[in-house]
Amino acid sequence: MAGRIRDHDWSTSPLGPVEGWPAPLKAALGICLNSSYPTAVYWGPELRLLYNDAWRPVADDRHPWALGRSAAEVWPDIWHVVGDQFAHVVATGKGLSTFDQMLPMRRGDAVVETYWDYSLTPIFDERGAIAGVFNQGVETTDRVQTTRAQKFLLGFGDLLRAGSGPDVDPDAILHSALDAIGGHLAAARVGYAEVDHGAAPTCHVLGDWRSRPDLESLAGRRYELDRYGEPARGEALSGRVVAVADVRTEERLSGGPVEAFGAIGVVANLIVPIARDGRTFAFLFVNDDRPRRWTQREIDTAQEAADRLQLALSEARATARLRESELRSAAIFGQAAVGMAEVSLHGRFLRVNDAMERLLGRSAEELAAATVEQVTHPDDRAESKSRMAEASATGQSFEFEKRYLRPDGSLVWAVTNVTRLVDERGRPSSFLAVAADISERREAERVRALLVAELNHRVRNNLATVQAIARQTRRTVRDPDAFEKVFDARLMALSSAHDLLTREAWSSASLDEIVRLVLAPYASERPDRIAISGAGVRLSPNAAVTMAMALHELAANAARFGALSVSEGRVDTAWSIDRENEIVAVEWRETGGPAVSPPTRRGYGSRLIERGVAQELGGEARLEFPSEGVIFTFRTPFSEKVAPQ
Amino acid sequence: MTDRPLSGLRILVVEDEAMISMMIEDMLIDHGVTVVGPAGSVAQALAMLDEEEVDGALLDVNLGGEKSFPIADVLTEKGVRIVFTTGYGESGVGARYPNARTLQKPFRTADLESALAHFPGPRGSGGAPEG
Repeated sequence: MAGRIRDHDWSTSPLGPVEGWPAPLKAALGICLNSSYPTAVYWGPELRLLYNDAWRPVADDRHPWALGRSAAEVWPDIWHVVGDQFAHVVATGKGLSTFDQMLPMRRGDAVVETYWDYSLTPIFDERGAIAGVFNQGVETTDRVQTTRAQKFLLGFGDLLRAGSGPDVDPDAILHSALDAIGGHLAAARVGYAEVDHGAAPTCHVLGDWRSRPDLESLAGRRYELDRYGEPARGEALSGRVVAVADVRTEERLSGGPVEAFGAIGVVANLIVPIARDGRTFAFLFVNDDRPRRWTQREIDTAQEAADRLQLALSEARATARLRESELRSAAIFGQAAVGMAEVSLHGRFLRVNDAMERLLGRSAEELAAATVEQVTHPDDRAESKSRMAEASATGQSFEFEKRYLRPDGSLVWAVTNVTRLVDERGRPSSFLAVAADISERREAERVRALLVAELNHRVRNNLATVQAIARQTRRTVRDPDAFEKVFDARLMALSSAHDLLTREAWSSASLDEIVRLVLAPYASERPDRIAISGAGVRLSPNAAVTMAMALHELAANAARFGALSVSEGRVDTAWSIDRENEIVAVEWRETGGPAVSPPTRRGYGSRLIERGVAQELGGEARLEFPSEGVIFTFRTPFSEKVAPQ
Repeated sequence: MTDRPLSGLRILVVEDEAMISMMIEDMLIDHGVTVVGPAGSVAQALAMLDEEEVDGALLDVNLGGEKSFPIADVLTEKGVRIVFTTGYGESGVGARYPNARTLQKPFRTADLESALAHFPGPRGSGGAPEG
């Protein structure tokens, strides 16, 4: 610089030719030029600038133009800071030192934040007046920004960690991260987008942060990357950072892309891709609404932040998915209509749902202190235990029907399905038991079995009854034609009694109906010769059958030999209830028939009438044969078989 | 039947259905058996056993809803052989009374004969009990 200063044309400068420079200036300049430290001398009222070689980087692109010019002319961009500092030194005569002073300096087309350590020292002339300022200093931008970036990244890590945990919300993490990045980079907009590769690759902006509310948000939108030019489509999508200081003057951009960026208010653009194997799947973008030269440090910081953000997001999403799936499982577990329980390998209840509590008749708290064995019916314990042991060893699910024991002693049938669960390392951890109450089905099966047995019993007894009728008929009626007639009539009487009982679901039958039904065939021609009267009496099924058969024998006998064999004869059938003595009395009286004489031998009919009725219904039955007509009387106390209605 | 005639045996008949009991009675009488009863209920049958000695018994398992087992218990205690008649099949009866026979209704005369064939002879005639 010494040569340059010497050769400079100072003739038009207020400093005048070098030879005429005052001694203090020469002395100061001497020190300056001999110093290896960045040093400048500002001289005279206008603070004309002289500097050494080490100071040249400070001037940057203002060298060599700045030489000999006034400080205000050289530093219009930072004069609002340094102008006051110069004035202060000149006014007070005291030196000034400042460290990491921020100076928003114009560099190229852009204004950038720069940081400096420097001192301003007054230079006095021979008369003791301040004639200039001696300046030494170095740029500390790099150190300041390094420290800031480190601090930012430390804080960023804390921020992401704070967002994690069981209640993690990926959206909240994204927004607080973008907020932090935007603030740190002092950008206009910062956003995060995921890439959809395809014929026309698009990106989906998951969220963005803006420095001012009037800046448009891109969040939730999809953008076709082709529309933003080759750097966005080609480089960014293959994992390379794209840093554009000014999209309007960037040589790789023109026409459509410039307009596209303009439409979303972007002047400076930084795309930091997150890629795997050279293929970008997401990216962080940083926009500014003024030209901005992206420093390597900013790019590095953005890359570091983007990587960490992507990692935190994917973890958060995995956690959220897991939580959602757990919540869904819990909902299924809790709201299922079937009983569900998680049971330890030793058979302890770990958790149960509401349906299981209802099924077992015990609260979750009670079950927590119980084992499967304790709530299983003693008869099913051995099988339950051995099946669980087998499932534990083999991992095979099993299903079987078992009885559970409720605290009140009642039992409940349930079809129980047991599945062995394993932990994340594949080791058996517990059982999942699902149980559905099948008591109703079991009860229905039991009732059906009873009904089938009862039906079998009835059918067999009926066959035996028919067999008895056939055998007894054959004993007294030898002629085949006569046999058929008598047997058929008896079978019909039996069938009528069954019809009656079936109508009443085999509960009981009314005596009145039995009498009318059995006598109907004989009353059809001459209804007036058969009188039927009596109070309401009900007979049990077997009693009804026997009474019907006895009445049939009486009527058939009357039709062949007695009152119903002649037109003048009649039969009075009457019964009464003696409630005081709890007795039912039945009477069959024939009149107007041929003279009767007692039979020489008792046949099946009379045995059935006398013995059968008494045996089946209880009480006394008597068959008498006065000459006026047959009389049958039957008296029996109230019983399960015979009772007033 | 010829080597062990039923003639002279006293057999209790318990059957609640009159027509069936009459048939059984006739079957037995035809073989020279003296019928005790028939009884239609447990109470009736037990009352008869208080009064009379029997050589064997034909018991309907189901007597209008009640089981005839109390009668069977008394008979077993007395060492009297039993033939059950039932519409249900043999379930439960065989295990409870291993020495008893069971006849399913309806049965033939021949079935009744062979069931009764294991009865010892008339009391005091020295027939060896089975078992």
